[in-house]
Amino acid sequence: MNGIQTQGKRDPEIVARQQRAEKRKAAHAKKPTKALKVLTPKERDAAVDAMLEWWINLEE
Amino acid sequence: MIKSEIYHGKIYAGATQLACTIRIEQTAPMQLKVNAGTLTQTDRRTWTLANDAVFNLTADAVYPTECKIEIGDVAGVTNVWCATRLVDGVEEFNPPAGWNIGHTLAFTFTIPPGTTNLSAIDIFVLEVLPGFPNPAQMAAMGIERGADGSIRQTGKTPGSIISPEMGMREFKFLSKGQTE
Repeated sequence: MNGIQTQGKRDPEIVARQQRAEKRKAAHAKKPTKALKVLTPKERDAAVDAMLEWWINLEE
Repeated sequence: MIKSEIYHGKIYAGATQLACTIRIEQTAPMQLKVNAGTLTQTDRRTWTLANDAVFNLTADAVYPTECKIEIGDVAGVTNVWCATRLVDGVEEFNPPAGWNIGHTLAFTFTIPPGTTNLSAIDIFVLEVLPGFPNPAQMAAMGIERGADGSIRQTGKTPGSIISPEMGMREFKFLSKGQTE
């Protein structure tokens, strides 16, 4: 009986929700600022990938 | 700094059985000690802490940390629980399995990020005073005793006093002769 000390617990659902929100935010930040038609093919591919990732995260 | 004020932990037992001999003190910059003692609830249930309990607290670098101390029991074995949680939008207090609270001893306080000494923080603790407040103390508390002996908020109809700082716990100040 010397006292009980506990740290906070992290609800897995809340943690997962926060991670999804962070992913969405990060993916959103990767969105191209230039119009697609003025991008180089490499930039366009990267932009399309980022957009796809963003949409996938939105659906999770 | 550890303190106790009316509406912030300091209460009068009135004619009830409420009593508490447990004291909390700061024993190091980031350390609190709960001294052995007994809490008696208004319904006469008692929790006796036989040994002192020492808790070392740490501040987070980024987020504030919330902390509170309760006395209670797990399956009838009395203990004190020091709960901490980061205020990061995710963490919740994590009570021990089967925790049965007797009363809060140190009300929830916040340790700002990077804190190295608790003396800079107001930590309100439970302090139970016997009997009723005297007239001067009652005036300072904004309460008065009516002609019928009941305690009421000054200028209001007889009733009880609500202290939001204590989790909306209702404290009834009983007149002499009344038990509960």
